[in-house]
Amino acid sequence: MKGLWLSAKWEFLESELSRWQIVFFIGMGMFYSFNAATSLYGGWVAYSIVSIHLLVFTTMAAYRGIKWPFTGAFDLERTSGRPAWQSVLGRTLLWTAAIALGAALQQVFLRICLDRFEEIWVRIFFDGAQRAAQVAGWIGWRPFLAVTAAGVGVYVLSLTVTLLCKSDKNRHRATLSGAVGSVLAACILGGFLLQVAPLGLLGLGCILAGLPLSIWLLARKVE
Amino acid sequence: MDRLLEINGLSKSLDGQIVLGACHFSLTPGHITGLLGPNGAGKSTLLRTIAGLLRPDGGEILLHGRPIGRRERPRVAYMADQTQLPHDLTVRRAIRWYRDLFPDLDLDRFQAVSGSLPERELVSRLSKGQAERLDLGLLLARDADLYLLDEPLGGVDPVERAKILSAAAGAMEDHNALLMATHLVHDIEPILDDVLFLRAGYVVLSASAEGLRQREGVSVEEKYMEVFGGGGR
Repeated sequence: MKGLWLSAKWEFLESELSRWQIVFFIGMGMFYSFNAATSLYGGWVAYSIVSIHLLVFTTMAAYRGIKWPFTGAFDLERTSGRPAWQSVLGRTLLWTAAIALGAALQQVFLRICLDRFEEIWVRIFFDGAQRAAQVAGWIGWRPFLAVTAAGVGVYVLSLTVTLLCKSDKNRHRATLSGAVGSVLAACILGGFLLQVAPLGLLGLGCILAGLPLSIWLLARKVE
Repeated sequence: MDRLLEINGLSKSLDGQIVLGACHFSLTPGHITGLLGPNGAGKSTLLRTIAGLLRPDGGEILLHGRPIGRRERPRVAYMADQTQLPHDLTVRRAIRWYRDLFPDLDLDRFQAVSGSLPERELVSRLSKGQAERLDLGLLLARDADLYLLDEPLGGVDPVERAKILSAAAGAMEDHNALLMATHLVHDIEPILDDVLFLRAGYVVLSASAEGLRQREGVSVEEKYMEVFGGGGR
C-alpha cells in the first residue's frame, strides 16, 4: 500500500500541480470564474470560464497520462518491483482529487450563475426560465460525480491508450506523437458516444474498463 | 564456482529482426564483466532485457538459479546510457524520489561515489559528467546482486571517466557482480575480470580477461580488434 501513496505523492511533485504557478492559476481562475458567473451575458463562453479549473486539471491529467509511460522514471519504477496496480491507482487517485477540486469549483460558480439567473434573467429573457433550468441541471451531487467521473475517465483513457501503444507489436518504437494521436482519436470517439450514453456513465465505463486493462498492460505487456 | 546470473538461450526480436539470438552466458559473483561489441550488436537490448524492461521472446534469465520475478526485480540495478531520473526535479528531490523506489539506498555510499553535486539544480540542467555521477552514485548505493551499466563512460571527460571506473571497482563485493556495456575498451580494461563479446545478437566470446592475457598473450583491446575486424596486434 505504501507504493500507492508514493506513486500519488511523486505524481504530484513531478506534475505541474506542485509548481507555485498553480496557486496563481487557481486564484486568477476563481476571480475570472466569479466574474463570468455574475456577468450579464451568461452564454457558453461563460460556462467554459466557470469550468476553467476542471478543464485545465483534466487536460493536465491527460497530458501526464500520455507522458509518463515515455519517461525514464517509468522504466526505473518498473525495475523497482512496485506492483503495477499501485503505480496506476496511486496516480489515478491523485488526479481524481485534482479533477474533483475542479468539479467542486465549477459547482460553486454554477450556483452563483443560477442565483443570478433566477433573479434577473427570467425577467429579461423570454427563455430565461429554460436557461436557469439548464444550469440547475448541472448543479448537485449527481452532476458533480458525473463530471468528476468523466474527467477521471479521460485520464484513465489517455493512460490506457498510451500503454496500449507501448504494448502492440511495435511497442519499442511507440512514439509520444503517436500516442497523442491515438488518445485524441479515442476522445473523439468518446464524444460521439455522448449521443447515446450520459457523460457520467461514459466516464465510469472508461474507469472500470480502463483501470484493470492498464494495470494488466503495465504488468504483462508494456515494453 | 557459483553463478550469480545465468542466461540460457535468451532471444529477442524487434521489428522482425533478431536483436538477441539465443544468448548463453553466466556471471560470477565478485566479478566485473565488460559487455563489448560494435554498435548494433545488441548490448543495450541485452541489458534492458535482463533488467526487465524488455520481454524476452525465448530463453531464461536466472538470478541465483531462479527466474527474476517482480519481487526479485530490485536485486538487479540498471543504469541507462542517459539519466532516467525525472528531469523536472531538483537533484535533492530526485535522490528522495529514488530512495522511495529503492528503500535500501545507502546515502553514505551514495555520497562517497557521487561526490559533491549541486543539490538545488534541476536534473535536466546537470552536465553529462554530473548526471553520470548522480546516476552511478544512486545505482551503486543500492544493495543489489547485479549492477547493469549501459555506456556509463560515454561523453564524459577522462577525469570523470577515471572517477566512475574507480567507483564501480570500489563498490564491488564478493556477493554481487557488475556487467558494463561500453565501447571504451582501453579505459575499462584495467578493472575488468571477464569479457563478453557480442556480435549481431550472439555471444561470440566469453572469457576471463586475465585468461586472455595469459593464454593468448593479448590484451582485451587487442582481442577486441581481432574479433571485430580491426586486425589485431
